[in-house]
Amino acid sequence: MRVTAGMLYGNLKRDLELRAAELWESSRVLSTGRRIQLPSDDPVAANRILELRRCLSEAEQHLSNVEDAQGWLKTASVALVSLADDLQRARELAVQGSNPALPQSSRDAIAREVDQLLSHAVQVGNSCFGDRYVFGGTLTGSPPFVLVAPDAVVYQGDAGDQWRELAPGVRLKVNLNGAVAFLPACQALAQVARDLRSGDLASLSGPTLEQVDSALSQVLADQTEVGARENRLDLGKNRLLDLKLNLTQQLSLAEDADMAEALVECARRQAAYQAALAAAGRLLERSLLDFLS
Amino acid sequence: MRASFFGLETALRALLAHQRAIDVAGHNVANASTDGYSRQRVVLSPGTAYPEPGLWWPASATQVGTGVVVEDIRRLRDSFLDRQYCRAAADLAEWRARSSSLEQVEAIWNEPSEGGLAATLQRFWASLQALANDPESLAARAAARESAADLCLVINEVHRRLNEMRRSLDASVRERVDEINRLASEVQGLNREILRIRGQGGQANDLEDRRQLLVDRLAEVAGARALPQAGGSLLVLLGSAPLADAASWYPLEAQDDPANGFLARVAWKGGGTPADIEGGELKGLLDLRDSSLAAWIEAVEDMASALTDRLNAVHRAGFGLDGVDGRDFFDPAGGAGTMALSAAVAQDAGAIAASASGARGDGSNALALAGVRAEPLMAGATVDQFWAGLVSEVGVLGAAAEGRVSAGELLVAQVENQRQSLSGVSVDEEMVSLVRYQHGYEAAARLMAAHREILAILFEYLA
Repeated sequence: MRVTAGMLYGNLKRDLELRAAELWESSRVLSTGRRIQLPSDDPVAANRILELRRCLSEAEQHLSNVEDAQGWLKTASVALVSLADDLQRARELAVQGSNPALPQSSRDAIAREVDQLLSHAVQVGNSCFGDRYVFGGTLTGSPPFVLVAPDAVVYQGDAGDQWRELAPGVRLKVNLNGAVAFLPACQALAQVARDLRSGDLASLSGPTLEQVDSALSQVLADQTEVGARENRLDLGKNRLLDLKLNLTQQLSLAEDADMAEALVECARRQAAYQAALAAAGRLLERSLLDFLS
Repeated sequence: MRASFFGLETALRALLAHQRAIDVAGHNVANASTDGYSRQRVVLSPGTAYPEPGLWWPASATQVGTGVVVEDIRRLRDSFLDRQYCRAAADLAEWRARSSSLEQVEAIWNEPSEGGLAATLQRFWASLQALANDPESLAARAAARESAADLCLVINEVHRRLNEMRRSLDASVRERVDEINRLASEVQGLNREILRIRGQGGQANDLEDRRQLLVDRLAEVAGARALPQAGGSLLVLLGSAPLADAASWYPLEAQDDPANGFLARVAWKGGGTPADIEGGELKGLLDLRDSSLAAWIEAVEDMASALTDRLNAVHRAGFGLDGVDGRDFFDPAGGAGTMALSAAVAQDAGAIAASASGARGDGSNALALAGVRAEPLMAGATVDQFWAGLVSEVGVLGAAAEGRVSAGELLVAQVENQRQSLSGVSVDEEMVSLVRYQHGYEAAARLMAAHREILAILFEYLA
């Protein structure tokens, strides 16, 4: 085939352009560390990357929700332990106070201790997680329990629920209804104090004691409930951590360039480019003109 | 009987012919780098011999040669290869136009990246969940409002840039129409000249080269085809309608089309019949402008309005911090391009209706808002999935277009090599020819000197 200078130059130019373009592409992969710069580089992988990122962001948000829920439940759990202690002590005092041999002055003294227990219970009922009151239902901005008189407690919260999403469509209630978890206990304590002051021994060793007992069993039930929820959260958290790890790994596989491979490829393309330049140099050197005198 | 000055004429003819041959070689060398130039070759042939009956040939007359004549200066060109090139170039130009436009769309999409719509949507959904966890926190509310504003910004930006791109493609279309008209009128002028010269028996080599260059460009721009006509003119066709022949050229017009947002419609001037653009840059640009971009703009608009409608519906059912319900999250009058927060929310993040019951600490409506993420708002797909689908679609088209461009480049290079192989100037070859004709000239000059000496002897003895 007849080969002209035009063909030589044209082909050289095109080949140099191609090698340079490949080299540029390779250097971009190295400098960004990403296999894919634009979706058109690998459309299927690009779609996968978007999907993985979406799932990862969802998982991270759920993890944050789980941690928030754990905080709520921990606060509740600590509060319940405290409340149980108060109720136990109150029971002891009630039994002590129901001894007919005790003088009223002693009963008054015991009543004062029970007052202290009540105000402590109210304080515990107003526990906070961050700046939110955990036993107020959905009224988390102000203290749900108010001591209107030394022996009367009012619940100002509501019966609303606090939900946290642990997974798409899966929600966990993280709060306890203060009216059910704390109010009966406070009322029982108040009743013990009243009975002690009024000297109503029959009530003290009878219905009031039963009131305290039933409050105690409610606390126990609540503690079991909180414990169960905490377990569920632990499992959820582990699952989410595993999911996050898995997704991160897959995202890296889809998205990141294998550095070793990329370096080798870049070196190879650089060599190819230089070879093309050298070939161009040789071909462009001579023509017949150099040899005609 | 031999004429006295017979040999002189032969020598003169030789000198002139070799000079002409050197001229042609020189013309080739001078145009070695000219685009579209096809090399010319001088065709030498022996002059008409004349019969000479006479002393030495009693039986019949013999033919005596009269030297050399330049019969023709021939242009080496294959019109079949030219037609092949036009087809390949038209195809390549079309796919190049598509590929570069698709790259621009990918830049607008800006995926996968932290600033793209996918990441912005994710931040939006996450902020709503964070709000659900702590609806009374002003920080969480401010964050939710900011991420919603960000979402509006990104969607508006994408919409704006897509429309801008559409307009810029339109401007390119109009420019191309002007270029086609210029080229067509020049081709027609050349046709006329070439016909005239050929009609007189001459060769119009350089004019034909120029004309072919213009036709090549017409093929690239609009996929035009050229058919050779009797007499040497070229009939240039656009589809099946003539663009230029020897007699006249037919102008195109970029008419504002009210049915297409007043973007340009390419039609024949006068009648208004739409031009049949079969290939070339114009086809790629028009296709992208009218089918692809229009569809994608509509998709973004649909997505934005589906999102705002649904989010507003959920939002209206909920209560803000002030216990007021029935408010919109986003401005219901806004669509893609004008998407914005509602006036209430923009002014006060407390207006975001996180509560379903009216109580300040209730975040379940915020949870419902976050749940819109998983709802199939776009024909069975969630908004996130729909967007990923759009990105993927452009990616697939872009990858395909790149493949076609690479293949097209190879094909064009191959045809061009074949053209060059036939018509290209090889400087080495011309140098050899130069040396050869130079020697020929020297020899002719020596011949002339020999005849002069002979005549000198004649005059000396006869004086």
